Amino acid sequence: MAIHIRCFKIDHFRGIHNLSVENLNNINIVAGDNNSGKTSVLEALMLLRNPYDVTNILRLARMRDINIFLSGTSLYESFINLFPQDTYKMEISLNATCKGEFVSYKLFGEQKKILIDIEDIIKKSYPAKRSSIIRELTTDIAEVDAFSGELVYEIAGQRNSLPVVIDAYMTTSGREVNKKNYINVAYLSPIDHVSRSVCDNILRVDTYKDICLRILQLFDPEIIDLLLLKSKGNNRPTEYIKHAKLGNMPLSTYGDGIKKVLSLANAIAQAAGGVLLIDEVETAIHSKYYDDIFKFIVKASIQFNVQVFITTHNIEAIDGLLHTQDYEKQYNNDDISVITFQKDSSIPKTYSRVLTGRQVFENREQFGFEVRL
Amino acid sequence: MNKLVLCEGKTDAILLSYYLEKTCGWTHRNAPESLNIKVDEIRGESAFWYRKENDSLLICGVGGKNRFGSFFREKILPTMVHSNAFSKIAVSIDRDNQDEQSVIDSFCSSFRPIINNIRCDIWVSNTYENSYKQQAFVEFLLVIVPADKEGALETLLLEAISENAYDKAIVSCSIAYVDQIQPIASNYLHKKRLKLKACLGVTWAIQYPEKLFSFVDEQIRSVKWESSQVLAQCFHQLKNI
Repeated sequence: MAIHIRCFKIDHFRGIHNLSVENLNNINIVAGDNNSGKTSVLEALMLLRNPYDVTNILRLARMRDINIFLSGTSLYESFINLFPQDTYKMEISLNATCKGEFVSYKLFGEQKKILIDIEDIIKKSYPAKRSSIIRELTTDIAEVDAFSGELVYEIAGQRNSLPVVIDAYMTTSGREVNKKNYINVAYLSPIDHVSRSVCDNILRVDTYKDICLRILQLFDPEIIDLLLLKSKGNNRPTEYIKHAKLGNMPLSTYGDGIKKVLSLANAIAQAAGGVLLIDEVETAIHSKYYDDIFKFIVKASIQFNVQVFITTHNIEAIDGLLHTQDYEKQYNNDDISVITFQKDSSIPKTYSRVLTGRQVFENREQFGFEVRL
Repeated sequence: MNKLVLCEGKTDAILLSYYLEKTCGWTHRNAPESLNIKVDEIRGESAFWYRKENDSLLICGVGGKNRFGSFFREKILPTMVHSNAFSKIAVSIDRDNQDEQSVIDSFCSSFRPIINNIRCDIWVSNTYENSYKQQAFVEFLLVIVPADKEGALETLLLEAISENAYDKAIVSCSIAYVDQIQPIASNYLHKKRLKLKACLGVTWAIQYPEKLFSFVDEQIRSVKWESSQVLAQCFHQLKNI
């Protein structure tokens, strides 16, 4: 069983307030409409990866910015947007039972003006932005917006705190990344299959690579191997697919479906022994492949001892995931829970519903249950 | 909003659908995709959907007087707990020889935890907890047929037919005939309920002999029940669904 996070409670994070989710399972389908808070919940769970590392939350703040170099939003704005915007209180807080231990995370504080040496601002800025900053700031010391507060975290009864100051010119570049995670948590966004390496973890284990190849052969039976070769153009390591007829072809020449499957397989291996958060699992996969791909996700995550949280607003994807279980034969075990949220902004509170996969499956059969609502 | 009427069998369901269509304007529609309750026709269950403006009405025959509880638990309870499916639920049941309180107690027990407050012929608000652990609301109506004496839906229909003086004589003779034949047909008419059905059957066979071999829904639809004062009185609250 890979139930590393048994339950969690998000007091405040983005638009979520007082959300309590219990009875988590190996595979947790987070279903719901757009803007129901699914991605926010995944992001909140990312905070458990490294509760004592401020860089973790700054990187988390940037996850929704597809390209930070093109984005007009600063890291500071993205960071401030992690706090609930519907209350005056600046507080992010959650707790969870994780690896059998109580873990809590609380970041609170206020926005204010602070004075910073312009040299420090220039050092922290991306080179491309430095000239415009020099033009904007005419004095040696500048008054800038900043968040000033405290991070209080507790792991298994050990409570610690540290001061946190994030100013308007802060970047994640150059910040120390604490590699010693409390729990291994990997996040796969809906576009990661086209924006980052999708094979590195697969290629490390030959037996796993063979399993992944069998899944790829669903799309094209003549795919033979996955390779990491030096690109002819720039000599950089590049992912290739060896094909019976086409020879070695860069992965980039293949369709999104193949890349998506590889990125899922890669992320499962990356999350080994921990938690995998998959946002919008159905992206780029045709529904006719759901049964095979979802069975692979379930089997591989059990093999790698990975607890999975999968968001989707696609009912076919939910049905496909439920079909990975054989509810006619398996009476006692059920690897799936289906979670949905309902926001009540008047209180404010986010309600959760956690149903077993069997409950959803039977109700889908019995009355076409619209589980996403 | 979705509304629900539960009744004993398919015949009751057909009558109520006919009556509510004629008196309130509910017209047939296909089942909504997300609330397409599957019924077992072999067990005598039925489910028909109707529409009026933005509202939908489901009329279900549960497959017999003793199957309200199991039908509700298996088919309706999950829709209420997980989907807040119906804002109003009405039950129409034959009185037979039961007193009102025992009928109420029986429904309170078998419709728990959704329905806890029941009164005869009055819409009563009920609260329950849905699977989001939120408080949800449903109005409930119990209609016992007939309202004021022993009997069943057939009693009501015979009374409705008797509103016409010409047909009243036919009903009287049909009842007398069934009484007369009962001792020699006791294998078929050993219960009051069955005798009552026989009285209605004989009456209809005389009134509409050409429809003797038609399906029951065609027989029911042959009569202008919407003009009946007896039915209007019995179903005056149900019409508010």
